[in-house]
Amino acid sequence: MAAGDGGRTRRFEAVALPHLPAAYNLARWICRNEADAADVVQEAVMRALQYFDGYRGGDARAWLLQIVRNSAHTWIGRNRPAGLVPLVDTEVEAAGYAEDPMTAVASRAESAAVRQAITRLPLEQREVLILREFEDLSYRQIAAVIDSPIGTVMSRLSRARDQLAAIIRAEQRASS
Amino acid sequence: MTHDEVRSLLDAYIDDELDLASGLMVEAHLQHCPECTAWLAERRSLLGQLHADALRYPLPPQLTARIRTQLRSRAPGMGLQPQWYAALAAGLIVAIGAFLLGRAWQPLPDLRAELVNASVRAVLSSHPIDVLSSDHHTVKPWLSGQLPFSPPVPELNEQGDTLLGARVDYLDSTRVAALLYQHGHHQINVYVWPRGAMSAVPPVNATVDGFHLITVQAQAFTAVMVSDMSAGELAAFCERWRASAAATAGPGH
Repeated sequence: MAAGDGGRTRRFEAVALPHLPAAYNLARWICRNEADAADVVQEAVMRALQYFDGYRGGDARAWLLQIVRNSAHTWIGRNRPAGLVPLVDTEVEAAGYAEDPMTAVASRAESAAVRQAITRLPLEQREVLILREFEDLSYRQIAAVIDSPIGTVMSRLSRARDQLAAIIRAEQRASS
Repeated sequence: MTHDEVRSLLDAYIDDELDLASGLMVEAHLQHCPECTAWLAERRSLLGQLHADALRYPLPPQLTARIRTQLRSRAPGMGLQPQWYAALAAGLIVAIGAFLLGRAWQPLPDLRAELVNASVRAVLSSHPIDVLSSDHHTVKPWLSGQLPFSPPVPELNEQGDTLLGARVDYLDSTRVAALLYQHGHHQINVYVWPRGAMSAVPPVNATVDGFHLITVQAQAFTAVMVSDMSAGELAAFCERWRASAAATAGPGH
């Protein structure tokens, strides 16, 4: 990485940095932890820079998200063996909510319940749900990000939604 | 299609990910299956609870600053533990290799991105149309006055498509006609230029950022349809447009 590639870095920044919000959101949902998500995104961006010469244009967001997703999985494999991740997300209150004061209380309670339910989904279902519902990726883009056939995307997304509905129903029963 | 087969496609149906034929079969089944109709309504209500605005995690501003600083410092791996490199070698090379080979990641000629960008700009702009008319007798002469050619302007009124109007756009240093149609909730931009007038590679069928592109040759013209409607619907629209363009042009034109 000698001098003279400042232009390359600037080009990379123009391509990659607009997608940092999507990158952070995905990492945050996969890691379920703020500090880890930030580290994963930072690492993923540096990896993306290394691979930038292989990037030939196209869907930059999906390109970056795939690297983020891989970094996050690597990170989980190393730092958080299954079972060590707390199911209850302690940072729920820290995230942003709808601003309208009239509906803020109701929607905050509803959003918190939904957020909690998504957090409980198994990782492989959670990530496809996030990519579809929050990042609005097509099945084809999701398939590229998670490196799986489109049929797998379809069935995982269906299972994720089934599971999510079941968790929300169970929560409603428990609270009533 | 059996009941169970339809059920397994309903999520993809909601997401507008079915091809035209499967979508029609699902719709035919829904008309006489209250069970699937109820299931669909319940699913939509579940998805309605997923408010992305409230549930996305906002990017911490200091993270952007941290990343910019590290990029500028040009010290790759600064502050990272050595095991990252092992992980990088193990996990990423395979993934990136597969990624680069993946068919979804063909190099994208600029023209495709340009077409989609032009369509997005048109959607976002407060006046996507310079000549607002559903009458091709108004639109066609206007375009002929603005351009060095006279593009086909099918009205398509009888097939659920409405001609909203037209504007002149600028692609690859070439002035092109941009016709705007409405079909259901979707708009379709149709870019038309004389065959061979553009030096850029003509785009083949593609999907970019959720927009589908279909290229068709109609008489002496190249036309590219760009829309966020499903690929199947757009293909059907494209066929109606091409057939109508051929019918209205006639041999004498």
